Amino acid sequence: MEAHTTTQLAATASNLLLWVPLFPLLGAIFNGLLTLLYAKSEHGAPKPLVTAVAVGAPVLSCLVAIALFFQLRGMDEAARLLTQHVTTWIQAGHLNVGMDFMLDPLSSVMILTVTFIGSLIHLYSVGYMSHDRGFSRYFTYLNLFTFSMLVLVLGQNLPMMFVGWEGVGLCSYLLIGFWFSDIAKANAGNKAFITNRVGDFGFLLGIFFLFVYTLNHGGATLDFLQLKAFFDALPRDAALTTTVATTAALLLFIGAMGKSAQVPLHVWLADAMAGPTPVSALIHAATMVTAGVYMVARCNFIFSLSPVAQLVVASLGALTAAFAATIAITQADIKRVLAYSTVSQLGYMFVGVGLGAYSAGMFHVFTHAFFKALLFLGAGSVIHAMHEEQDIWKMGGLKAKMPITFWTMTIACLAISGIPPFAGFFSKDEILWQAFAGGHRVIYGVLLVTAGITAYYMWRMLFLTFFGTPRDAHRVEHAHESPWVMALPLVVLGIGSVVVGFLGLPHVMGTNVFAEWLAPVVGAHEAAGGSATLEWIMMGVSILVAVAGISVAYVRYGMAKPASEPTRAAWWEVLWNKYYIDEAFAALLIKPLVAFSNVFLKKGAEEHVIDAAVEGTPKVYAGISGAVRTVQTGLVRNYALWIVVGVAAISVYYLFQLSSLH
Amino acid sequence: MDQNVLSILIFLPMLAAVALWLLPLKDGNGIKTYSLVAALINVVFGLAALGTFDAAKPGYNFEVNQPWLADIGIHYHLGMDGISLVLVLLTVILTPFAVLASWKLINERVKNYFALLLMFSGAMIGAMVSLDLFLFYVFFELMLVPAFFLIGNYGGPERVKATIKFVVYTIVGSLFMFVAILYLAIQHHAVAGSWSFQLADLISTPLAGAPMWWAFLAFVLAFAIKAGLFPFHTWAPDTYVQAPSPVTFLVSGVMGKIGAYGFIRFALPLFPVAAKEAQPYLMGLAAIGLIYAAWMALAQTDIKRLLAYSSISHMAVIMLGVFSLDPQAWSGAVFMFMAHALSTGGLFLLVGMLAERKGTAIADFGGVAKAMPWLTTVFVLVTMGSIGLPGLNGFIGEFLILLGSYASHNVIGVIATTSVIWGACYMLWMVSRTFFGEYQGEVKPGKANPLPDLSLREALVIVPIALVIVWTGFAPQPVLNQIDPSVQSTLRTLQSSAGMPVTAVQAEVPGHGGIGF
Repeated sequence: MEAHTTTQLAATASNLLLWVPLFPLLGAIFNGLLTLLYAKSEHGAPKPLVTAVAVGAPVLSCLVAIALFFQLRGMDEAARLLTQHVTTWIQAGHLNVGMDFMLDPLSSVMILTVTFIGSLIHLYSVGYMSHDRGFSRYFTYLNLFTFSMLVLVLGQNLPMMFVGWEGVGLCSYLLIGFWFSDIAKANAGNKAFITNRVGDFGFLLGIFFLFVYTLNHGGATLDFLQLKAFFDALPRDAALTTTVATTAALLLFIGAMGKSAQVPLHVWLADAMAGPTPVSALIHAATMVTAGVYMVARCNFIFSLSPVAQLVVASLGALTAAFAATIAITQADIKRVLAYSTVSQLGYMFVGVGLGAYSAGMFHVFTHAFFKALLFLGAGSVIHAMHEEQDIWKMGGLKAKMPITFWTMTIACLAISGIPPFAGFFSKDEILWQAFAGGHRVIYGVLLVTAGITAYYMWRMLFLTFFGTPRDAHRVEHAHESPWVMALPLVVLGIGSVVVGFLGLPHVMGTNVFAEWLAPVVGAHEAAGGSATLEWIMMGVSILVAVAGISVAYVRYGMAKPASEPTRAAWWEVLWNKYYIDEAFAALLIKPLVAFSNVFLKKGAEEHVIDAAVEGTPKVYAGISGAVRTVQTGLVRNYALWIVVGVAAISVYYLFQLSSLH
Repeated sequence: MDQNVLSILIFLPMLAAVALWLLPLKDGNGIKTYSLVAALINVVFGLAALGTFDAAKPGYNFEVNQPWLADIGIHYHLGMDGISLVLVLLTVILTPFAVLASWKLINERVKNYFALLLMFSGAMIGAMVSLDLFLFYVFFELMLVPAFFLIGNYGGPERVKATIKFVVYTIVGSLFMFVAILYLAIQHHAVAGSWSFQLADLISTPLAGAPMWWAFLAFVLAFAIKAGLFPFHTWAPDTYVQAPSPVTFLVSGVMGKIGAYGFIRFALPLFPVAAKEAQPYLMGLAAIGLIYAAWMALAQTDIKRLLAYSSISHMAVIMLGVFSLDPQAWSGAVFMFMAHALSTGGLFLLVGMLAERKGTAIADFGGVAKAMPWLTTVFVLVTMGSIGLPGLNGFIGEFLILLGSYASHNVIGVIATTSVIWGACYMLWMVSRTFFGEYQGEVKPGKANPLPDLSLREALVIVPIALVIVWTGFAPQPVLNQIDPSVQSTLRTLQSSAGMPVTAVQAEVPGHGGIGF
């Protein structure tokens, strides 16, 4: 009780917090109304107006986020917490959920990432979507997404986080199915939404569990600060504490698995590439899909109490990293390569937070946002230039045609491959080091091999897209560099992919500014064991593996210049078909459910059991159908009349009976 | 005014209906306008009641208690608390929407239809505010009569079959309940020495043993049928599909709730001990029902039928909340009366609009979002409300109910929470097959569109509903503030007479995000 009175007092009230999500919400409402008003006009809403509002909203949010960041930085390290209570949202029974926002170092990193990269992607979209009829509808959704994502991040309690959580899911659904005239795209949206709902089922149960447990042990709460105080007050190393933490953590993690596409709930993300490419960059790479990692970091006080849950998170992360990377080496669609790469990188992040190295996991969220957004935007630039072609086997030789795209994508590939001094090197290596030094040798081994595979498939994509001779001479001939609105974000993100890594230097090289910033929230995590020399050696190993991966890719694709995929062996088929997981789900879950509903329930139980029992007392039924035949249309009237008469008669009868009892 | 407001709300539409039958109005539009005005006047009274309603007042607001058939203790006893307030306002406010939605649909026997609609509305309100069981029973039966005629005379091709099913089900259920009411009165007379049908009196002389169970089951049967609880639900799909959409809107949106309300107001408080013992079975039935109906919805090829099962599934969620006997779940259930009425009711109205254009089979459509962007937008929004997306009101009710059911019985709570998955499946699959994909027709500005978008009248009907869905999802607290005190006090009384642990009284924590320890 004492504990969170103090926590409460330590928070500083701020009236600015609400504005971070509010600007994009207002933008979404404005453009949404505009879209509907112009629904019937040939050209749609006036583009300059739509653009100004749509791009202005995240930019304003970003400015507020920066101001708030500096306010936070100016505060005492232990006191870095801004809160805003807007109103009571749901108060019923014991449940009291405030519309509360909270900014601490952890959420500040997220809102900076979301608003900064979000602004760039909004800007890029102005160019990318310029010829689309759904221009204003697109920006409505994109602003709505930004709003939801910021609510997710800033929400001070689990239900508020859940609002953002489902809100981003909705926008993801709407944007994946943005070109809804193509039923396959609409179905991809459904798949994303429904798979996420499976995860949300776990998330909700986690919320319910925490509510009931706190209710029975002092007072119900779903507020992060109060939950932290509650868990901090539980006796350490007690079996009950561990059980409670494990249950809560694993249930919440099911939610994270859905949102962050971890095996086996990863199936929706590759299909989500049906959406416009900037959407893939913002939602399905840089921000939304990292929400699960953020949630684990946010609930670190629960996860840290449960070694079992931590091991599950880390192991599943490692499995997903390797699993998705192996699929990526076979894919031909440039966006699918990147999608599986995202799934794989999310696995790395979960290893980080799963090992209790929350700042390492979050650092990878941060750097990945830059280079993966860049990769997607670069891919978008290529697709745009190639007139909607996404097959890398139909590209090749684009290097000279699109120098900005080429060079920035090369930077991103270096970053994701883990070549120093690019951003990905520092963040990925930190996770590898934490795994190794923490004694998780299997996880380390898996991630190391995966790092090699990552370098390999990324450079395979790069070689096939930009190098060699054009495999589709006509289209490559007419390809040209994208306009400045699209090129500028590429350059900015390219610079980011080079420099942001230095915020999280390994401690043998200097100060990890990033980890220090997060320490008040997630604690300082130093992996046990491991000397400085060892750390240098491990770094060298990582670099060697990355270089090896790139070299193999160069030999197979850069040097050999194949016209089509060189191998079609059995293992290749398995990977090409994504381990047949989609087929397995369809055959084992969806088809049986639909068949069961159709045959057993609809044609069986409902008609032949329940209905039959109701209509089926044969006499009654015969009587009624006889009546139907003879009376036809007048039947209903008569029937109702008989009911009225009957009820009246019975009533009168009983009334007399009762009166006579007097 | 305070004394009469409930009587006005009940009898204004009823008298308006009688007057309509007597008036020499012939012109269709005149009749429609008259009905709309009558319904709107009642809205004014409804809002006036809301304006003076005091949620903090113990017991009931606007109470009237006059002897009616004094010999046998039957009273004209009306009163309103936060629970009935929600239902009454829903009925009052949705009635003009039903009138508007019928405007283009009903062109024959117009006078009869609108008079019946007003009659239906008044009788339902009567059932919601009666505090005397006999009086309640009269309204409970009375509301069926206009419903029969509305379905039987104005419904679709299979209306006769549907009406028979509706009649058989509801009459069977309510007659047993009537017998049980009489038995309760007789028992009360035996104990107290005087006749009474008043709820408070009958609660004060509880039954025990086998008679308690029989009487309880009779109430359960009547209300379970009304609420469409599995396995007593099969009247609902036929009725919902065959009835004209505005009638389906009222039957599914409002009338079904009277079943759930009956449990909260009558069945559970009258038999607290039986309620407590039967709780796991009733919760189990609701959980099975919500999954059963959701899976049935998966198998439907007709939008209206799919929505019927969706409605049944959501009603099962409400029933689950009621049977949870949990403070969160009860507030959630009453909140969901409103949320469900707006989203499911709204969807039935929307599908009525589709039917006026083309039909209700999913296969009739495909890609029509292109032709009808407004209608599609509203449809998707209301769909999201129905599947409980946070930020829309469906979430508030569903969240509170599932939370409470988990608190009350965690295994059943877990099973029931799977509904968040099924709802998304059948609704989204239906939406994409109906609205998305390639559009076969042609859309060109200036050319006649075979699938016109929302007309102004249609927009007036559906857009306000959609806005309320959003508004009460973002700001549910003003509604919950009206509901919660009544719910908690009713529940506490029930818990203490059932010998259950009684929910602690909540300390007010104004302006605070969570609850202190």
